[in-house]
Amino acid sequence: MKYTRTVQAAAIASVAAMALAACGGGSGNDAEAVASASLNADTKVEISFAGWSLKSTPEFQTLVDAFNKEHPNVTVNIHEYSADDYDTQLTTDLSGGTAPEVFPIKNLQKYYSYAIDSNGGLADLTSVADAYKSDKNIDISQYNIDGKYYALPYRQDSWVLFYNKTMFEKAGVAIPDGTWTWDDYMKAAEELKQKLPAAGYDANSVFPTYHHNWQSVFQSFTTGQSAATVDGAKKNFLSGDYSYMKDMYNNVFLKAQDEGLTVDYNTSTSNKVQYQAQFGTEKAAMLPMGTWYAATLVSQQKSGDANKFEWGMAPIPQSSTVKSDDGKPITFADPTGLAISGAATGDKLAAAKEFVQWASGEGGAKALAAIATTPAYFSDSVVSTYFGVDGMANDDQSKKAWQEHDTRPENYVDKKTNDIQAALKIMNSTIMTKTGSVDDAIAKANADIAALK
Amino acid sequence: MTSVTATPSPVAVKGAGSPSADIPFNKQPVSPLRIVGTVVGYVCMIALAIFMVLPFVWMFLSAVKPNNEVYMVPIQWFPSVWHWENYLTIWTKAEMGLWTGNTIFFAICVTFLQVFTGSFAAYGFSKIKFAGRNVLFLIYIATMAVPWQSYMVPQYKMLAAMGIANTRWSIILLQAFGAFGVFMMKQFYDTIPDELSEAARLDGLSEWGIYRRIVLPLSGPSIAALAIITFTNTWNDYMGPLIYLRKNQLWTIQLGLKTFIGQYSADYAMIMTGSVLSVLPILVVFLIGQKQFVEGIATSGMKG
Amino acid sequence: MTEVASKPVASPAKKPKGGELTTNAIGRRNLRNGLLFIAPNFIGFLFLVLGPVLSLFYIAFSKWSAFGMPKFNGLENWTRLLGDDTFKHSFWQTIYYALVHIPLTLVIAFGLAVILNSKLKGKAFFRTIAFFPYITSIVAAAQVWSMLFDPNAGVINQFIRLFTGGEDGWAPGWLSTTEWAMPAVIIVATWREVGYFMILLLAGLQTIPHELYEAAEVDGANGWQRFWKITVPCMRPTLFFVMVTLTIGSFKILDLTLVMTNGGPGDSTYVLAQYVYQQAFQQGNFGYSGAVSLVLFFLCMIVTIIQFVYNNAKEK
Repeated sequence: MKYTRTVQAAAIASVAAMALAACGGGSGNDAEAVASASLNADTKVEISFAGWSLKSTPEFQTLVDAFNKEHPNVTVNIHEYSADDYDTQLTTDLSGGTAPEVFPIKNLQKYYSYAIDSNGGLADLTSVADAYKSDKNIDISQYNIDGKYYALPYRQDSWVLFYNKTMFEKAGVAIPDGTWTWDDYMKAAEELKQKLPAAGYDANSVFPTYHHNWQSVFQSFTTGQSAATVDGAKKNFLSGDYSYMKDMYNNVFLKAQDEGLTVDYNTSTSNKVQYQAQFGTEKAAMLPMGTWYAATLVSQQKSGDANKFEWGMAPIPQSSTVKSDDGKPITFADPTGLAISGAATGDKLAAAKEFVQWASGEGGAKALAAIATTPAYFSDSVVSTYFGVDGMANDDQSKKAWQEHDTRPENYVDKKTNDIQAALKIMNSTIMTKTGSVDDAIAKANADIAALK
Repeated sequence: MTSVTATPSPVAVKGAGSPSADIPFNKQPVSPLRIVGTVVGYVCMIALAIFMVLPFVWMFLSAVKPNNEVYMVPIQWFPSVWHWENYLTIWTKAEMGLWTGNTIFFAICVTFLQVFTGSFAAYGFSKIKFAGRNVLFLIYIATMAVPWQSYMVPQYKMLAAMGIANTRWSIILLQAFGAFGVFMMKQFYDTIPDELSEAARLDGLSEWGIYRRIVLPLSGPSIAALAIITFTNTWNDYMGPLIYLRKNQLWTIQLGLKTFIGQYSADYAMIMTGSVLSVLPILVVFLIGQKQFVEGIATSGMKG
Repeated sequence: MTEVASKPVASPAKKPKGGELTTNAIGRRNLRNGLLFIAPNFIGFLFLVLGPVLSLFYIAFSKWSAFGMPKFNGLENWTRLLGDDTFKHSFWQTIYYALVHIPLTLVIAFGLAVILNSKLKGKAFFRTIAFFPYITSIVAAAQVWSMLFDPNAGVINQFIRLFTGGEDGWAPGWLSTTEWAMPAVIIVATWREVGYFMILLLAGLQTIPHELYEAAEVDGANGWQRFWKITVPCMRPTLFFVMVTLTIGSFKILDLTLVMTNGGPGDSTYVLAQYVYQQAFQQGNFGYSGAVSLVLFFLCMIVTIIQFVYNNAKEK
């Protein structure tokens, strides 16, 4: 019968598809190939570089322009990706062997998969990392997988407490002094709740603080502050027992929404509340948020999208029991890194290597700081460039909060990270929407993670 | 809930007045009961219509709001300042013109290919009795049952290896040969009595002749429906362009509007402006297409 | 029209027409003509759709992170499925969604199509309005509906409280409760898709010859009888198409739940397609994700084949 032939043809086509599938992926640059690649200043080289939402994210163009000044022979073409679906695009790119030479690793959640599962999709950058290992101005340790590095950070935001100085002063409440624990934070919020209406703020729509609806807000401080060292925190994260999160849910996050200190989680998710609008239009006096928000706030105050008020950054409130070994406040945030495609060779590889090394170092950091983007390299001149930006808060506490912290990752790099985050996401949604008790939700997450292989 | 369950009520109301009011060519004397029924029916339809367009109205109003007012607690319907200029700035601030051009190009190519090859293949499946027809047809339907996310990557690898990824061809090829059009047209051709084509065959008309002279003239509404739906789906497709296109010059509106979403923030007012503009061409196509839905097209030469 | 689908090969072959054309010759001619008509679409379909789809049948039995070649691992993905609570949960959520959404959408869409195919004044206007939800940005739709669904201030609950005892009366919590989140999603999905299926059904209604109704009227059939004796049988091919695409679409529901609830609260609207996407693109388990989508595939195919067989039986 003819259709059997058709089915055969289809089968052949599918085999062909699978065979084609095999030729994707990188050739797998080993450490030596990267180490020995060197850029000749006279050769003209063109490399491609992935970035997202270029109009609203000027950092990519800024990096390229600044790099170009120092290396006029290298042309860097930016390919525009989606900020939302970057990882979906990068996965297909790496799979199909069409990835650009240099691309960002947006956070640490998929870093392990890109680095290890892709089997040579990412070049081994250990030799480049060596230059920064003992440099006090940059922390590259979060990219370390068994002594090897497949990406280097060029941005290292961290979470701080933004506060509206004007609102605090009008209400007559003391601003954060840099030593706050979560209890102090809650007390201040309660005091604000009482005093803000008298200061002329609408009691129905203005809140003392705003807890945005991201999973990390409710979990990553807790995990980061659960141990004195980053290794201890990582151990807790991978332990499979999340009862250590219970107190923070009960005493801070659930309490805050029960007492009306913040927009509650359900409203926040179903109305897609924008934290920029909450804080920028003075609907919240405090906002725990990543340092990236500073740049947005500066530009929105200039454009009129945000009200004009005095603001500052304070260290994020701390646990009252656990202190960091190095004495700095413990906070969290994933670095944003740059990786090189395993398929890059020759001059392209050399140029890509030069670009990544430069972007992670002081050169890239200064260019980023000048547009109020938090870089990964914190030398004194970078700090003064950043706080020299017009409209930036520049009191000493803000500088200190921005610069000095013990930053733990949001996603601890491990092969189980993805699965754990997925289970914790459901747990968080259950707790914060109050569709299940804290105990039950934690027990379910524990069970789900125990069921993983 | 109220809006949706209210839908059948016009039927019920009309049914009460005159049980056969819904059937065409029904001529009965007008009774007072029927007039009341009609009025109530219209009121329900209009109430329903309001529910249908409410989100569109919100979209339209949000398009002219300051960005921070788009999502507010509690929701705010009208802007504090009307930013009508958003409709102009989107053309200069973003490459809206370019994206629109690309989207029109893709939508027209895909619609043409889908309708053309689909109606052709549908004729083969519906009117020619060849061996293996049912199995082949079921295979077509079966591919629709597989979620695209799960074979997206192998498909991408194949097109990337052929050098088609990141070109206009990728979107056109990707969308044009889905099973949807064949399935839909085949089912519509099945409603055309076989006696017609059998008789023509006995008269010595070739298969092409039967398709061209008998089947095609009868398929106006179904081709219009397929064209509207293919055009709309291609126009609004986001995942396809997302996976395949990395050059801004090739972008579609849906992909382009995503540039207003940054890593931590978004320009929602501009997105809404773009979305409102993006609906207009679909409306035009819909209005042209629905002209085909005229009663009585399926009468010629048939006796049931 | 009727024997076409059920008896594909045999019927024309049994009565050879004319002297010179043998059974075989007719079969060969039909095959050649059939394939000629199908070819332009089939060639593209074979390489661009069928090939990649078939590769899934291998991927589902292997370990694959989307990079390099899938590694065959036998039934490992499938035994894991059996013990996977998240999978089971999302499976039942999907069934729940489909079981309610399919009949609801079908009945309303059919009703609307019949009304808008009658001599109603302004039907062109209403047809256009009915299609609006389908072309409204899904983000805008989700936003407005969550406002309508607001447990306290929402219009819907205010209306419900008119019947349940005023201000303090009972009303569902909709998107903020695990029990009512799925019904809310179903309502919005129905609202969104009714116009779309209405267009398809309308096109089907238009192909019914008026002579049939006239003849029935002469025979004295009333409206109800004409609906069941003429409209429904003549619409059967269209209804089959609508049922199958509606079923498949319901089992594959994803975009709406992503935008409206992202699977929450908790995991109350977490459906299979989201699990497929999550396992593949977020967890990097393309093999396991492939197994889940095959479950989805078999689910769709069982329902489709039942409809196919029923449809063919009904037609004969």
